Amino acid sequence: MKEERGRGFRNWLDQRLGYRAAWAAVFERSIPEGLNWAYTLGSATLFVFILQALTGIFLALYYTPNPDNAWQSIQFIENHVAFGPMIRSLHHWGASAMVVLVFLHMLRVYFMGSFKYPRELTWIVGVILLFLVLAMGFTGYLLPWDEKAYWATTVGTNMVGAVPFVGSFLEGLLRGGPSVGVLTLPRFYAVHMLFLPALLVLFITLHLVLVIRLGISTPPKAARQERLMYENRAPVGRSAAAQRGVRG
Amino acid sequence: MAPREESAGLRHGDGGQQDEARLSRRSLLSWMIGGSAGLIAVVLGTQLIGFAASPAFEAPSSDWVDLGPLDAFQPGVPKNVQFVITHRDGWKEESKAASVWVVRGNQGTNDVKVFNGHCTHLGCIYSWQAATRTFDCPCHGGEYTIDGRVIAGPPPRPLDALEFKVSGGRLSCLYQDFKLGVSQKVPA
Ligand code: HEM
Ligand code: FES
Repeated sequence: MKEERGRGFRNWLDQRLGYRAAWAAVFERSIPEGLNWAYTLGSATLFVFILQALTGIFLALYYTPNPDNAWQSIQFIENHVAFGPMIRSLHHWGASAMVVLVFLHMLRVYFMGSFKYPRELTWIVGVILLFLVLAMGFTGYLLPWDEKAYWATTVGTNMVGAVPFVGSFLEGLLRGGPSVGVLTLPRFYAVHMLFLPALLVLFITLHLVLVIRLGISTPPKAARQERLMYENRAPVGRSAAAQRGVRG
Repeated sequence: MAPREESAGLRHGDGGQQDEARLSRRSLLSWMIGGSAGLIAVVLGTQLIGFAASPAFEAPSSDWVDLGPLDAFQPGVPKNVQFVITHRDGWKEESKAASVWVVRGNQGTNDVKVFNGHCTHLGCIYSWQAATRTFDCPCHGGEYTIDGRVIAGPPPRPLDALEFKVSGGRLSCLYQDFKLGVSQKVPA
C-alpha cells in the first residue's frame, strides 16, 4: 500500500507500527468474485468467540468453582448483579450459537471444496478448532452445578469410560477421581476458562494467518467461468457456455 | 474504528477505474459497519461495566430489625423479642437466630433500652426474673439490674445496649454483636 507521510498522530503511529499495512492486509485484501453470505460464517464464528471471551471473563468476576457455592454464585448473578441475567444469557446462548456456526462454516468449506490444495492445513487446524469448541461446550455445561449439569457430566464421562483398555483411566482423568465430585468442578472450570481458551486463541490465530496468507478460495462456479474466460478469450455468458457445449 | 474513506479512496482511485458512485457505496458500507460495531460496543460495554461495578453500588447491608409496635411493650416489664437476621455477603447468605430484651421506662416514647440477648461474659442467653427483678444468666451466675448494670457474677461489662429508633409507632433496633468477655464494648 502507498505510504502516507506527513504529520499527525496517526501518521506518527503508522510510521512506527505500520498499522495501515496490517489493516489493509486483513480488511482490504482482495477476495474472489462470486462470494455469498455463507463465506461470512467463519467471521460470524469469530465474532461469537470474541463475545464468549468477553462475557466469560466478566462472569468469572462472580462465578465460584466450588461445589458448595457454584450454584449459589450463579443464582447471585441472576438475581443480584446488574445486567447479570443479560450477560449470563449472552454466554449461554452464544455457546450454542458458536457450535451451530462452526458446523455451518465447516459445511460451507466442505461443499465449496475449499479444503483442497493449498488449504489442507487450514482445514486440519479447523478440525482442531471444531473439537476445541465442542470441548468448551462440554466443560462449560457442568459449571452451573445443577442437577442437569451434574448428570450430563456423569453420562458424558461414563461414555469416555467405555473406551477399550484405557477407558477407566480416561474417565478418572476427566473426573479427577472415580466419580463426578469435588475435584471435577475446578478441573472443568480450569479447562473451560484457561486451557481451552489458550488453545483456541492459538489455533484461531493460526487459522486466520492461513486464511489471509492463502486468500479465500474461488467458489467453483466463479472458478469455472474464469477458466472459460481464459480458455476462450471470450466474454462470459450464455454464449460462452454454448461455445463450451459445442467444443464438447 | 473510524471509516477511512479518504485513504481508501486514494488507494482504490489509483487505477482510475472506480467512479464516484462506487466510492460512496464503499464509504456508506464502512460507515454502516463502523456504526453497528460502535453500537454493539456501547450497548455491550455499558452492560459489562455495570455488571462488573454492580457490588460497588450495593447499599451497605443494614441490620435494622423491626421489633413491633412500641405499645406492645409495657413500662417496667422487660420483654424478649426473637428474630432471625440474614446477613448477605455476595452469594453467601448467613442467617442466625438472635434476640433482644426491650425495657421501657415511664419517661415517654424515647425512654427505651434494647439489650443484646447475650450475656457479656461468654454469650449465654440470660432472662428476666420477675421475682428478683434481675436479668439472670444460667451459665456462671451473672446478674444484671433492669438497666443492665452488673450486680453479681463474672460479666465484665453491663448488658450491651443497642441503637434503636421509633418511627410510625414501631420500634426497631440495629442488631449487633459485641466481643465477649472484655470490659469494653467493641463490635464483634
Ligand atoms: C473457532 C472456530 C473457527 C473460526 C473462528 C474460523 C474462522 C474462519 C474465518 C474468519 C475464515 C475466513 C472465511 C470465512 O469466513 O468463511 C475461515 C476460513 C476457513 N476455515 Fe475456518 N474457522 C473456524 C473453524 C473451522 C472449522 C471447524 C473448519 C473445518 C473443519 C474450518 C476450515 C476453514 C477453511 C478450510 C477455510 C478456508 C476457506 C476458503 O479459503 O475458502 N474452520 N475460518
Ligand atoms: S455467660 Fe453469662 S455468666 Fe458466664
